[in-house]
Amino acid sequence: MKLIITVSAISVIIAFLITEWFLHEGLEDKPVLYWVTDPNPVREEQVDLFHKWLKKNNLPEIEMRLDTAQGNGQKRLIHGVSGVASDIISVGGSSDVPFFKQIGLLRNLDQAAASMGFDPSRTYPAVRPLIVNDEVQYAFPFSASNYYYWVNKKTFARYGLDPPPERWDFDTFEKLGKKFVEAANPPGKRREVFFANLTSYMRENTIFRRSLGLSIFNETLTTCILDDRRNVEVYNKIYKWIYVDHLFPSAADEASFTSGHGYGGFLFQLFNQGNYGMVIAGRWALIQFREFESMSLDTVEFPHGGFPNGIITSRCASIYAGSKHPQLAELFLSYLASEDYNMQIVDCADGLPSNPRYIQTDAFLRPPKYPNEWGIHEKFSKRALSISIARSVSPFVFVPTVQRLEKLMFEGFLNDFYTAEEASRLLEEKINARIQLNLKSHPELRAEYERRMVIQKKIDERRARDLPVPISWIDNTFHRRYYEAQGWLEQ
Amino acid sequence: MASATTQKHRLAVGLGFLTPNILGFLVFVFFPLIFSFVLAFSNWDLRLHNMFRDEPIQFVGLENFIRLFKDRDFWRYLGNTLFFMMAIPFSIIGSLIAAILLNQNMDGSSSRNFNLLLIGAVFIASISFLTICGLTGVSLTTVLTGIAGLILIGGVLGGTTVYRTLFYAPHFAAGVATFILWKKLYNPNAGPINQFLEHILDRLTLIVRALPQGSGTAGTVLLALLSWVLLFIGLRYLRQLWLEKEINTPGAFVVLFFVLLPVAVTYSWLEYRPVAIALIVGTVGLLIANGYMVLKQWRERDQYQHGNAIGSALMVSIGLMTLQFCLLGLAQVSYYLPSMAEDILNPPVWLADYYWAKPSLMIMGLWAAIGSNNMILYLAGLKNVPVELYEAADIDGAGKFQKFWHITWPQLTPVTFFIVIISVIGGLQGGFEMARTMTQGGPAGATTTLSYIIYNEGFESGGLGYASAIAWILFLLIFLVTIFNWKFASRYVND
Repeated sequence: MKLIITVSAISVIIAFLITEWFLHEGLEDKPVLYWVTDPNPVREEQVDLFHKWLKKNNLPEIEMRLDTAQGNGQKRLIHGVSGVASDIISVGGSSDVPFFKQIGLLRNLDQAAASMGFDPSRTYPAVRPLIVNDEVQYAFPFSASNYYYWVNKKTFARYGLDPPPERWDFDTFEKLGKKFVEAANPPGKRREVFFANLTSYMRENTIFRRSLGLSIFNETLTTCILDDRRNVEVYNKIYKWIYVDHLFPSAADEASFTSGHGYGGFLFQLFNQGNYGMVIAGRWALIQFREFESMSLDTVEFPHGGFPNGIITSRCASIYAGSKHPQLAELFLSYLASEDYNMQIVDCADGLPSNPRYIQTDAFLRPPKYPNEWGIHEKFSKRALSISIARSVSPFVFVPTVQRLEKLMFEGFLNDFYTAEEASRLLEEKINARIQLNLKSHPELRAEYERRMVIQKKIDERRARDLPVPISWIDNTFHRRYYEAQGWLEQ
Repeated sequence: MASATTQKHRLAVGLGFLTPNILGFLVFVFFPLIFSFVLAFSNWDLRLHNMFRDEPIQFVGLENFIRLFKDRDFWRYLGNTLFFMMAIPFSIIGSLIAAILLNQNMDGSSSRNFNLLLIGAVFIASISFLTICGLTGVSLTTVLTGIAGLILIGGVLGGTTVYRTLFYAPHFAAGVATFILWKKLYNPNAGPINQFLEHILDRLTLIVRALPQGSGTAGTVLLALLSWVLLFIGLRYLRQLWLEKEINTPGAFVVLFFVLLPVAVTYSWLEYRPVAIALIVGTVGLLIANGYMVLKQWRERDQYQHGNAIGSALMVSIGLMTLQFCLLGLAQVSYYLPSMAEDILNPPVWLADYYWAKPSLMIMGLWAAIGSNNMILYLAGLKNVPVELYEAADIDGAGKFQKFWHITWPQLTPVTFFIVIISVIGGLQGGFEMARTMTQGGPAGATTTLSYIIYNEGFESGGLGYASAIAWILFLLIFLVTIFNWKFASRYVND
């Protein structure tokens, strides 16, 4: 027993010393920055390039280390409030920035951004709401992503079908989809080929109802307004496309696929094999697609009910308020806005470069190594500047809560627990109840809420009389674009 | 006798050794416990108070608890948690059976060993042959068959130790790894469970189609009748305990609730209405008959309290309730079976289906629980049963079942009592890891338990005060159940 205890104690001491030797910052001859982010294969290259960029610009040497194991929301939150988060935190623009900002985890970047060249003017206008909260900048994108359908042209050709058109309405989508699944799945056998995948339900729901002119929140983001016939229509449509027409796989169909691996999970392997005619992803999917043998690709928009649109998201870098080296971390954000970094994004296809200037370059539009991709990049870049809209995020309720509630209600509907009408009504009730609860526990939000409610009343009155409204009244990212497209904005 | 100084010295040394443990307990258990209790009455929210924000924390009294009780989802998730706990009686029975089997002398006769070796060798040889010829359809089935062969051979060569180790394996295997493995097993298309079920269901389809018309309804009636018989047995058992003053009147009503619950619930969903009505009428009839007998025998009731068998009564009644639910569920299936067999009978899609997700996780939990610490405890308990009792029973000519029922089971009661308490506590606290890894609490919240919602409230929206309130309600529930068990069942154990 004594021997076991002694050996254990010695092992622990040795392990401690080894850990200290390899990881302790104090043993480095230069400061160490930590970056908690997703396990994207190109992150290592980006870190290497950062080290080179520092050298090239005669900036102080910094050792940057990646932490890809702590990237999920809860871990970042727990580490953040415990004071042990990484210096650079990767944040999903729409959900994380408002939440982390409220908690106080994020550093105000206004001054540094203006002086070091990573202010919001250096990125897409549609991305601005994702990095600026209450008129303060808290993040800068290291890539932007607009999600659309990737088309595997070989799969369509296999069944003697033409690839779908770039823009299509719901009816065309349904008609072509039915034709596709009928041709791809022999009768009497289990369906293994689907027209398209179904991502986290929120994305399709959001885009489809937006195309009918409906958003999850009203113009001032004060109230959920999903108890609406247009939401019912979208729910019923998706249900039909899953269970009647089999354009999308059901949860059981998805569970039936044996999983593969690679960046983006098994979805892209199935897409390459031909189990899906189309899959939803951003330009970043090329990181994996380029691993496959020359794919014949195209990209098309989501089907629409009158207002074509898509979602733009962004992976952003924020600086942790408790960082030991905030000034050095600012250098990293400055690097994200640099030409070196943007051109690296152009080459590796990890989404769109943060600065839209680089989506006009020849290297982006016609990458010499990948002639099969020519024409595709252009579509992504055009959409980023036209129909892509950031998510509508209410400051009065958390995005993860909203997403969880919609998933709960929508799955309840798909499992015949609720009708589409009930699911819409219950969802609206639940989200609005959460808003009220939030206002109660955070009285500091009340004044802003009341102010917006007054404006909302004015908007409703004006719209009832078919009068235009000033854009400054509208906070909802979708309504700003929708009103503009409908000509409902005051000149 | 040691002097006062020596005693003080010993006390100091003892405390010195205990100090690290006490400190650890105070810092990592006691303080967080008190802290979370205080939190439950506050509006602590990460957005208000953390190392970067220092807004004053307000005590909100019972507000968090009121909000909780008003939240319909809380009751739903509590229901899910309790539903999962219906697997506990089965897991205890499974552990006991496993322990009894592993307590057997495995040094069998040479002919039995030879047979087992032969079967194992055939398994491995056939799998190897199929693999070499490239004829193995599903790799997981191949692996499982190969493992079965190896286990048989290993068991013969290594004896009881090999089997005991294998049975205990689920307990020391990493949770997440086993969850992922089960996810593969539950794969609706390529999983070995459905591959196996598909063959059976194909046959069943043919059998059902060949059955005369009305067979499904007859099956429903038969199964409902069986359930009614169980109810009859339960009520008789309950009446007996009450008459013998083994349980008191309030206790009898609690047990009665569990026994009657399946019929009451089933009435609302059993599609074949004549059977549903007959069940209700039959149950009322049974209640009246029992009530009449109780009144008739009131005076014959023992004058003195003999013991308190409420723990045992509860165990039996909850077990009966679960069995009744199973039978009545099957009755419903039987009613629909002929129309379902007109098409092909498909195996369930397990985790992807709202109604199957919970049973799927329960089956997996059952597998893990059978070879867990419960089995080890039962094994230890079995070793402590005096051999003389069995020898005396042999002399009296008792059969195997009689020996089990009159010797083994009563002798194991203290162990069972401990296992029940631990399992109930574990059941109320559990479900988080499984649901998080396998279903994300879905579909449509079907596998969301109280522990899952504590995590969501605490780390999704930062509402630590509210999350603590849920945790304390959970604690209260566990505490009450444990006290109840302790108060009533422990007396029974000691008796």
